[in-house]
Amino acid sequence: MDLPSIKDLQINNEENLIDITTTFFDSIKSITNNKVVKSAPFELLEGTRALEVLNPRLDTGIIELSKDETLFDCSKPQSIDSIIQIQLKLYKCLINWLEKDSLPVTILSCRYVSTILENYLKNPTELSFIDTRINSKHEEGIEFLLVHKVLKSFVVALCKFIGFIINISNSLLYEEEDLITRNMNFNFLQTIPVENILDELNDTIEWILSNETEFDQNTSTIIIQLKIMKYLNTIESKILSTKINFLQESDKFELFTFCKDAVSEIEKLKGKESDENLLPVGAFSKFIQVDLPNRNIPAELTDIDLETTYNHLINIFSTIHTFTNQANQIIAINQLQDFLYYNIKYPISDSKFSVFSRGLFQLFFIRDDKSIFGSHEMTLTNLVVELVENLIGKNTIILLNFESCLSQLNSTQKAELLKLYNQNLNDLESGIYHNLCVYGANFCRSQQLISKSLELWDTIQVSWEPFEFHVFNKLQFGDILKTGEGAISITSYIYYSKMCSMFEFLINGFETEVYKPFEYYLIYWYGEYLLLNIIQHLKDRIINIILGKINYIETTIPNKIKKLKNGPKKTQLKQIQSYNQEVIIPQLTKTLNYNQDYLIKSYEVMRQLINCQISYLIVLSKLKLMDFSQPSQSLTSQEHLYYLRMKPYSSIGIPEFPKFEQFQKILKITEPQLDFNGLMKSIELLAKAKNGLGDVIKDYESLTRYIQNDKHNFIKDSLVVTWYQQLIESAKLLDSNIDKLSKIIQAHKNDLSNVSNSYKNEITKGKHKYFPNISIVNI
Amino acid sequence: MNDDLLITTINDLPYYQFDINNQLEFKQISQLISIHLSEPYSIYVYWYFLNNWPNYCFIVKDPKNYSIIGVIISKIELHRNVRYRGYIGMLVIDPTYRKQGIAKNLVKLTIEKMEKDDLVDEIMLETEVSNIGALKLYESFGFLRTKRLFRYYLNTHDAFRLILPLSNKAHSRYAFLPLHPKELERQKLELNQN
Repeated sequence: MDLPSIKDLQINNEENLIDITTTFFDSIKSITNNKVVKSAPFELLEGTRALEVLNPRLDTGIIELSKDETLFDCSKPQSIDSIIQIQLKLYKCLINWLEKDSLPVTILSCRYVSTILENYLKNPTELSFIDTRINSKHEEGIEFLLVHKVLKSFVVALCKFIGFIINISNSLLYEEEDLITRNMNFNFLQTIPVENILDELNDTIEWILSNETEFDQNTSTIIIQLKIMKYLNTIESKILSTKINFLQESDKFELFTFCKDAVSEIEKLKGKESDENLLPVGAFSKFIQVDLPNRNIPAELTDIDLETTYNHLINIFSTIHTFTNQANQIIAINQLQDFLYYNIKYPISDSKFSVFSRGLFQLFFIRDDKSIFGSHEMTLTNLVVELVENLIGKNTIILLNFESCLSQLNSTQKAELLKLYNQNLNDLESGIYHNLCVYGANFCRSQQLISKSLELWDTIQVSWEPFEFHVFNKLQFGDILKTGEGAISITSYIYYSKMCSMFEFLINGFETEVYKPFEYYLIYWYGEYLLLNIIQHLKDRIINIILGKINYIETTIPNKIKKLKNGPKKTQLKQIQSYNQEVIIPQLTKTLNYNQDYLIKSYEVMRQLINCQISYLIVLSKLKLMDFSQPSQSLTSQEHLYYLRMKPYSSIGIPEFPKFEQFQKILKITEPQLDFNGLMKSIELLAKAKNGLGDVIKDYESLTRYIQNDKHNFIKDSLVVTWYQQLIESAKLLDSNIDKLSKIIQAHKNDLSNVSNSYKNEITKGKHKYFPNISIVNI
Repeated sequence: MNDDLLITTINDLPYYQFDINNQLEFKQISQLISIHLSEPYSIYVYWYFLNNWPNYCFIVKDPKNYSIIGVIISKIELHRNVRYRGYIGMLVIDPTYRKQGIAKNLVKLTIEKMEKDDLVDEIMLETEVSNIGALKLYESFGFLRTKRLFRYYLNTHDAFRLILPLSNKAHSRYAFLPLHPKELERQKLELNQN
């Protein structure tokens, strides 16, 4: 392309220009062919998003704008119909941003929004639609006020709300993943208190009501639009200031009732259709992409439908109302766990939360001061003790008064051990904090966080285990089992938490669809192995820790009291024992019962369901309907694939990591077997699986009844019931797939080799995220 | 056209290594990618790959008019200084020439060269979750989905990260691996220079 000469450019005002022609051509002399000149920090990532002059896909400078778009005058009076449509469009832009696209192609494409923000950036006291580059003067009639009063309060409130979301996003969400912000360096009215915004909206509503006759039937629509904006901003004003009665059985009043009002207002708005013909020409454009310093590549403006907009808005308010009130109802740690896992994480993984609600939840849950739901009594540090003892029972000696065991040591030893103890407690707190941050994350990020937690918890276990052993063996301090062994209670909790994370990370791979069918057997086999370890640990160690604590109170302390002579020491111990009998023993019994009746049972039923799935998979492989070896043209070995898939677990010492050879031996059972013995084995396996599924369904129904009757460990209307219903549905689906396969086997019993010629597997979404539907269909 | 760079001919289609001195090839490659991939790339990205690793850019030409109908662009680098990682950055086949196994041949050429010439420990790439064709292709070679990346692409689609493990290092946590000999060599050189 020929460049125009400097003269051709007809530059008249030369005094502000510097001629760099010579410097430029001198500098490029050093560039040799095929050499890229770049600064060191400019790497591939920067390159992928770099602007490239004159490339229409990358250069925002050559975006073409119409005259209407360039010279759009925000201060021009507009009719009420136009104002309503602008506000409707802005709601669509807001939701579009939350669902998919960046700010410059949604909200910031609105000239009213960009003008207010630009003016505010230059002068924080100026919130106006006046663009000094456009000379305009207008009469101050009702339509002028509709723009400069009504639309302005709407736009200002919208900007404030966006600022709030960006604040949440900065610390609690993942940029370019959960949200694509690209804020164009605006600060979104950070310095204006949200209360001022709410007052302004109220004033505007009052003003509209006082001028109602001017607006006919449009009054209610415009007021609803403003009210919804008010409710959105109310979230910011209430979320951290509303008191939650966390873990307290005091009166529980309904919170965030404004969310219900918001939903009812949105429902009213549902009749309002969008009519973009009524939007002022040029009000929404790519102007901002050209006008402001812009690190991003050109992007088309996008749109979403009104139904999605309304539903998303309703979802925001109803979700917030639900989770704040559920949090307020929590009176026990088991309820908190039920709340977090089944009523936050579970619906989030099903995309039932807006990204805003997800971020807001994290903000609401763990505050900057580490308090939980803003509770004065419950901080993260206290919660750590509560969570640990929720599994291993109250009265954990090492958590009670550690310093008391150090009296027999010299001051150096004392300081060293105390330092180690505090370090270990901090590590435990970090591990628990890490786990608590998983709940609000998107389902992919959540897996990455869990993967990290495997390493984290393994390291924590490595620190705590020798520490607890040392303290017990050398100082005789810590919980004791009935057998006289040290209980290593904290390590036992850590080991349990680690194994739970391992199982969750493994089985959630079905949800993220990272597993190919040839890996299914490996995943269920290892899942079953982990569950077996979890169950054994709960039964052998955790239950015995609690029984040991009960034994300590019922046997050891009374013996101590007997041996003591009358005096203040004996009186003090008697008082402690009385508290133990009245308070601690019932708590320990409650924990014991919950672990035995629910927790262990739930793992056992899951293990049985997985075993049924494994039996089914073995038969499918025996009949050549599935193949659990590597892909046929693979350029790598099955061993490499095995270890890569198992990499997250491979460095974990316990439970023992199964070597490839062990898996190879296990896999032998799946080898095709189409003779009579194969027939008999397949029939036997399917019969076993069918029997197992009958038990699984009964046991899950029984667990569901347990949950429905238990008001202490599960929150009201908890989605844990839906979780188990889905598992029951999965078991039923597997049962029907087994029936179908049994019939096929029956029909081909004389020559099983025909089965794979006539049928193939078909994998579709299952009833529960852990179990894809593997059915057999005709070829 | 530089026939020294002809690597092979499969089904009458010639497969070449990219000619770094041929500006027309560069232009054709960037045009082919720009038209058929959803992500827009700057000229820098093309230069980054093609200049640093011209030996890992393979092209297929139509023997009738010698226009480029398929391209694969890759790189190899040390990952965390402990393992050698191949990365397949872009793979595009002109739609008119699809379903002829060209993509498969290009991927195979790349993997074999990386394994033979540079002893890579693993090869990695990302592809859209909804790109069933690409997933099928790579997975047939043994690539494993190791991660799902939420809204990874500019079009907000999720991606899978795929890895083909070729040595034990590919499945060992980097914290447990010694520095790669190339990194040790680099450090030694740096030390000598200082």
